[in-house]
Amino acid sequence: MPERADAAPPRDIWITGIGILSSLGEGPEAHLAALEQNAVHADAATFAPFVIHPLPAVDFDKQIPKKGDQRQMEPWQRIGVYAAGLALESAGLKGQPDILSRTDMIVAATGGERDIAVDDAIMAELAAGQADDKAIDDKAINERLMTDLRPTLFLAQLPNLLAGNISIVHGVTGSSRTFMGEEAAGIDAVRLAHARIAAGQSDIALVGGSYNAARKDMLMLYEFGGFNLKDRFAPVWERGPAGGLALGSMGAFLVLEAADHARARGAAPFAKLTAVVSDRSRRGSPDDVQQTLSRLWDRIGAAAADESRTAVISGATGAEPATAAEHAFLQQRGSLPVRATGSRIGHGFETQFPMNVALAALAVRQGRLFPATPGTGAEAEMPAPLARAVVTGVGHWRGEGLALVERIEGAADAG
Amino acid sequence: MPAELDTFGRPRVVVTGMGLVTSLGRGREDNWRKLTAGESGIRPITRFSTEGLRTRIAGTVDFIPVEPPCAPELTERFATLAAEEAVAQAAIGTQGDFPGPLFLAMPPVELEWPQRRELALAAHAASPDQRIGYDAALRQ
Repeated sequence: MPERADAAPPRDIWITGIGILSSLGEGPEAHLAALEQNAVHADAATFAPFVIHPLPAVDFDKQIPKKGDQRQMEPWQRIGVYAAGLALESAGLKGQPDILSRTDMIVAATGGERDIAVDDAIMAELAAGQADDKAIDDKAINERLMTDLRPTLFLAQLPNLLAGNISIVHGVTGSSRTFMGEEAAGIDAVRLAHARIAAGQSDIALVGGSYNAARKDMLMLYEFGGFNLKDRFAPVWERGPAGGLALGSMGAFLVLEAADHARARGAAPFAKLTAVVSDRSRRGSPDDVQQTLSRLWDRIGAAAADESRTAVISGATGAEPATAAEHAFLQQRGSLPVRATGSRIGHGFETQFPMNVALAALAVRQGRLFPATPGTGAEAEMPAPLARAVVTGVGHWRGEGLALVERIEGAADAG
Repeated sequence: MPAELDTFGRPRVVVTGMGLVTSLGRGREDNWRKLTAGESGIRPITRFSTEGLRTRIAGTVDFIPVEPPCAPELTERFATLAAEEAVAQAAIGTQGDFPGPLFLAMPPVELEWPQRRELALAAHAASPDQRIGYDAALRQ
């Protein structure tokens, strides 16, 4: 790589805002308290036989004041716009149009909700008709779609409209990128926002995503792949050889900011985001994931420095063989304490990595790792203070990434 | 060979391979020829019934067969063909080993009505007295 003519000096990048929403509640205090108590809210009844981690009731008015704005979104976008608002509030950016107009956004998102009621009605009609003539069915389907679907539904479904609505509702109007691609999209959203700030192309970014697990259309998609956990909740390390995903509703946004920019405006950081790396291994042979994680581990500098104060916040999904591969890799790293958040909040695909970076930042800021999920044999307690966390993201099917989050000495510990 | 850095000191980026699939045709040459001949790829949609729909035409790629003929399969096939053409032109890497990341832009693809219809009919056959919808289909 040629040296730049006048390369920008290296910049520290801080996490100065956190907005999180999940089955554990809303905001840093609620999450830390729930993690401390090992709280798990898993629902195996509502979408039986599938297990999900649902959101509690949320007063969306608090972050999305206009009902008209809320109405043109489905739950997935409401969750995201809400979490983005929490992050901006957390960073002290609300009501700061000068900064918001320069705040770059990278959102990781999947497609939005279908109209389940219309789908159900059509399927019932197709089943009752039992037409041998597909042409009759096709005509009936089109009639239903034309009359029953609200014309603006597609706005609620487009992945990039989450970023669009964050711009509209919260006035974030710097550059805007939306990434699709499940876990890897969330990893690369964080990685690229970090890289752009490090390269001097940006000073401040809003990064994150949201996921709605309470969707029959989504459960059906993953059921075709045989990915869903069924009947009973179990921690991600305890789901047997077939594994399984327990989808989790969640929203997570981070404000990433150049340290010099944060200091200039008097913003207090949660933690330092030191490095983010990603890759996409072929997964052709059983060793591929472990070898990729090993290379990424070296690149991120996780091997350096004091391992006695380092823990792993794992995005292990519960799907196999990826979960076992990650487990085997982590075991080789010695006695590093590991916490699989999928066992507490479920799996949120695009949102999982930003969420786990947020949880890692909260843990290192308080200087203490939350207790292990008991009984799995994969998570060691950590009596020592916590100063660094490696966040892992190993996609259920493809994509691997790591982030290194480090404590900033002197950062306020106030809750 | 142009300078490796631009005036801001950033590495220059060049394009060394291109591949495309459009309603005009498959591949760079086919597309360029038809484009410069003034041809249009907009034609009636044939993959699904448009009876009753307000829009019945599109720039459809109806000359690349996939099985089953659905959006997810088509999307993947377009991407593969275009990527293969681009990588071949760039003459980089080896077969099955591209030395760099993939950035792919695409819309969400999901289950389509022929598949949902199959599910509905199968669920009905399994439970003839039950109202069929997602719940019944998910149990299948």
